[in-house]
Amino acid sequence: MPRRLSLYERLLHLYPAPYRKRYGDQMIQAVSDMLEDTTSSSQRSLVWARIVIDLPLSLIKTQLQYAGGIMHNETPGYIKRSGIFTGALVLPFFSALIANGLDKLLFDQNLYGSWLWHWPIIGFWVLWLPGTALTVALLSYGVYTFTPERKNRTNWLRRALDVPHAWPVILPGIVAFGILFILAFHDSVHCWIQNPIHFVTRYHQTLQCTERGYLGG
Amino acid sequence: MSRQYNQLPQVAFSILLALSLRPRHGYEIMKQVAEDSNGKINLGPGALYTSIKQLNEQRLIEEVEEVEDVRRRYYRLTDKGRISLRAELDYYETTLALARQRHALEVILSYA
Repeated sequence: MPRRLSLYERLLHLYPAPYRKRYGDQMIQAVSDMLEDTTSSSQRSLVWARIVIDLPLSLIKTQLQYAGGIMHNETPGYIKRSGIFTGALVLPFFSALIANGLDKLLFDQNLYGSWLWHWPIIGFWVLWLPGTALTVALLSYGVYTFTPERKNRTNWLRRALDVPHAWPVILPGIVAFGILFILAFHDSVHCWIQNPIHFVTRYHQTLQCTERGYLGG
Repeated sequence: MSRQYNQLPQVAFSILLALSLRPRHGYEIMKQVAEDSNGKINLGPGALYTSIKQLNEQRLIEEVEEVEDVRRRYYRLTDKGRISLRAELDYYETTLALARQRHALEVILSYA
C-alpha cells in the first residue's frame, strides 16, 4: 500500500468507530480506485488535494452527527437537562455582549452606563450565573463519571473521558469556565483585574470594591 | 407511498440519480455524479460515504448483499428511493416548465 494511502487509513481512525467499521474499507478502496484511474503525477496530486479538503469536512460532519445521535439515544436524561440548564445560565452573558455590540454598531454608544453594567445586575450575568453553570456542569459530570449505570459498567476513568456522552455538560462547563477566566483578567473590571493575585488573595476587598460601584462605573 | 418533493439535498439527489440505472460501488457513484453534473459536483470519499450513510438510514438506498469483495460494496435504490427520485424529478420538471413559461412571457412583454 502506498505511504499516503496508509496515512489516509490511519486518519480514518479519527472517525467514530461504528462509521469506520462500516465504511472505512470502502473509503480506502474508493481512494485506491481514484489513484488507479490517474495517469500522471499531477492528476495524483489533484486527487490528494481533493482528499485533503474532503477528509476534515466529512470528519467534522460525521463526528457532529455521531455526537447528536448519541445524545438523542444514549446520553442520560440528567446530562441533557443539565446541559440545557447550564447553557441557559451562560446565555445572558452572551446576550449582554451582543446587546452592547449592537448598541455600538447601530447608535455608536455602549451600555456601560446602563443598569445592565452596574452592580448587582452585572454580578449576575458575569459571575453568579456562569459560576452556577460551572458548578452544575461539574456536579453532573462528576455524577456521570462516578456512578456507572447498571447495564453499562465501565471504570470511572473511561467514563470521565467519555466525551461523546457527556459533551452536553462539558461544553457549557468549558464556556462558563472561560467566562470566569476572562472575567478574572479583563481590564474593564477594574476591581478584579488590577492584579489577578490581588483578586485571589484579597477576595473580600475585591468584593467591597465591586459593591462600591467601581465596576463599570 | 407519497412523498413531498424537493426535500433531497443536491448531493443526495445526485447519488440517487447515479444509482437509478443500476447498482454501483463507491467510486462508480463518484464518477457518475461528476459526469451527470458536468464535473460541477466532485465528491470525495468522505462526502460520498457520509451521504450514503444518511441515504441508507433513510432507506432510500441499500447495500447489495450478494457481493464477495468486502471493500467494493454495491448500492442500489430501494422502492422508497425510486419514489423520492421520481418526486424530485417531477418537481424539477414542473419548476423548469414554469420558469420557461415566465421567461417567455417576460421576453414577449419586453417587446410589447
